[in-house]
Order: sequence, then structure tokens, then C-alpha cells
Amino acid sequence: MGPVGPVALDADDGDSAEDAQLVSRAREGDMRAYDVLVTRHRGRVFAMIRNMIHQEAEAWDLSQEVFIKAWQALPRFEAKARFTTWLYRIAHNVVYDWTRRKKIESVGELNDEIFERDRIDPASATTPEAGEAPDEALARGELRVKIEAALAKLTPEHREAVLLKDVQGLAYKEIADVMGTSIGTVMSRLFYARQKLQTLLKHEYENR
Amino acid sequence: MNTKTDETLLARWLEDDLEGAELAAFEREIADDAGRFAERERIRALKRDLATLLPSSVEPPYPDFFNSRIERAIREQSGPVAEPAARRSGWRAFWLPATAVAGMALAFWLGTKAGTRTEVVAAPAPSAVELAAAPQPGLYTPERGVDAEWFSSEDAEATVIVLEGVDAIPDSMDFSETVSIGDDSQGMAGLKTPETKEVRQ
Repeated sequence: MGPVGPVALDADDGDSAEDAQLVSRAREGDMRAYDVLVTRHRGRVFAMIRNMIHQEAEAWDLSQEVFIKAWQALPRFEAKARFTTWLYRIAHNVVYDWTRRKKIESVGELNDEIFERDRIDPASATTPEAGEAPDEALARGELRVKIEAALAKLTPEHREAVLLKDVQGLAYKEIADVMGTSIGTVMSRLFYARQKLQTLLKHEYENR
Repeated sequence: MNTKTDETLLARWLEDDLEGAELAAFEREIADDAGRFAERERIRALKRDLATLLPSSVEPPYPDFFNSRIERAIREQSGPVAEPAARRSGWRAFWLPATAVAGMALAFWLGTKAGTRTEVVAAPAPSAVELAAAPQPGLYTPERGVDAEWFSSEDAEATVIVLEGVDAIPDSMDFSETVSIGDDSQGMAGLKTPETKEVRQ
């Protein structure tokens, strides 16, 4: 079963080809090309990091760090990987370095910032399509908050696996590359992450 | 029964990763376990919600600033970056803690404070060598459609910030209330913008 939802990166062959051209120019020192690459990918990187650490301002800084590191590492970028996947790999390292620096005990922690009011704004881009009844939109917004809270209670490894698979739409092999592990480990992490999420969201999904 | 294998198969089945004979064999094995099928449906529902409720892409706040900070960091770490000679950088110049408008106000205010000067000197654009050797300031223009360029010339003893696309400044604007200057000897002698033509004292 392919990725469900708003992203279907497998269909981005054209984008990947354009990325490859931009990467080639950026490697020659063309910062205009790199600027375009940043613009094309900053949204995904920022969303991924924000979903990982639940801190908007830190996510903003760390996302920039990803692109700075990516620029430095461009000579080592191998075209066999998608630029997007490669960026996620760098983002993975940046987030884990940051986590180590901050000495965050992620398990069981929940940052209140994820409940910022604007994140459950029914008018936000992540809400269901227009035409939805207000009460239904509100319910979806509440569900989103609960899901984010549940994700925040997972270990960083489990959370990252779920986000890369279900939100970013990466294939298992790509997730394994990003996380620097095997496909088997990815499957295992997804399995246990889903078990935990089911427990945490029991009331949301049991009676559907 | 190999528990480890079962768990791997179960994980793949829950992920909808089994196909063909493998799928059929596994589902025959758990055919009597309605709980497993219910669990898979719950997981499918959760995956759908994750995909639809959590955005895969979120534009970071102040996206232009976001980009310009990256460029500034790269330039600080890497030194002058080679660029195609025929192409002017498409980045919105460089970043400066003050906004471009504040920079313009600063330059204008300094120009009015420089009482000995009677005319703003239009500085010649610096050569590539000069630009590469001189420390590069950052200019950030938060307003879309506004481009800023910075020129400095020792010969002309002038630093010029050129803004394109900014609205005309009302005569009533009091610049002294918008900027804080610690040192008047920064070398910013004047300002010229296409919109305001040439500023002369």
C-alpha cells in the first residue's frame, strides 16, 4: 500500500530531475540555484523537524542548520539518492545532535508548545477541505492535537519512523537510509510505534 | 512456530506490505483472529489521519529571511562564493539586522548629519575583486518586491544602499525616531533609490 494522504513522492520524478540539475549548479558555486533548492525543500524539512521536536523557533533554526550542512556536504551528495531523502538524513542528524545537546528525555515528555492555539486553527492548511461542517472541523482539529500529543510520547526513533512513513510518504528503504538502519529495524519501529499509538489513542479509534 | 518470523510477518501485514501468496498464507493463518483484522483497520485509520491531519510541508515563518540567513551563514563559513559571472545573485542581497527600510533611513539620516558634505557622490559599482576582499554586509528586505543592493567605494568615500520597489517616503516621517545610531563615522554618506531619485543636501 502506498503512502496515504497529501504526499506521493514517488510521483516526483520531474521534481527529482530538476533537483538534480539545481544540485549540479549549486556544486559549482551557484548560490542562486541553491536558493531555489532551499525554497523547494524548506517546507518539508521544517515540517519534519517541527513534528519531531514540537518547538517552532528551534525548528526554524535547525531547518536552517540542515541547509547549511547540506551546502557543505554537497560535494559528497550521490545522485543515486533523492535530494529530499538526503536532506531528511541530514535533518535526522541535526535533530539528534540537538537532542543530545539539550539532553532531552523525549520518552514521556510533552512540550506544551504543541498546543499553541494556531496549531488547531480550523482555518489552517491542514484542516479538511472546505465544506466541512464547523463541528466536524473542530473535531478534526481536536483529533490532530491528540495525535500530536500521542506522537510526542513516542521515542524519537519511533516518532521519526511514523512521520517519515505516514506524513512524509517515504518508502521503507528510504526511511532506513535516513535513519541509518535496516529495513527490518524500520518495520519493527513502525510496528511498536503503532502499538503504542493505538494504546494512547484507544478512545479515538476503538469504536470506529 | 517461529515467533520472530510471525512478528515480522505481522508487522508487514499491518503495514499492508504483504502481497500475493505471502499475504494469502498469512491471512489464512490468522483467519480466526478477528482482533487482528480490527487492529489493522484501526491502524489504517490512524495512518489516514496522520497523512491528512499532519502537514508534510509547512512554509517556515519569514521564508525570505529564512533563506537569507542560510546564505549569510554559508558566506561567513565559506568566504566568497564563486558565482556565474554573467548572473547577479538572485538572493535578496544579504542579511542585516535592520530591515532594508531602516537601513535606508539610517543612510539618509547619516547623510543629513554629514554637514560638511554638499553632495551625495554616486559611488561606482565596486569591482568583483573589491567585493570579494571587503567584508560583506547583510541586507534583508522583508517586503516582497523590494530589492536592496549595497555599494561601497573608498575613492568616493561613500556607501550607498539602493532599494528598488520601495514606496516613496512621506516627508512627515521622522527618521530619528526609527533608528539608533552609535557612531556617525560609518561611511554611509548618502542614499540613492530609483523611486526617490537622487538625495541631495
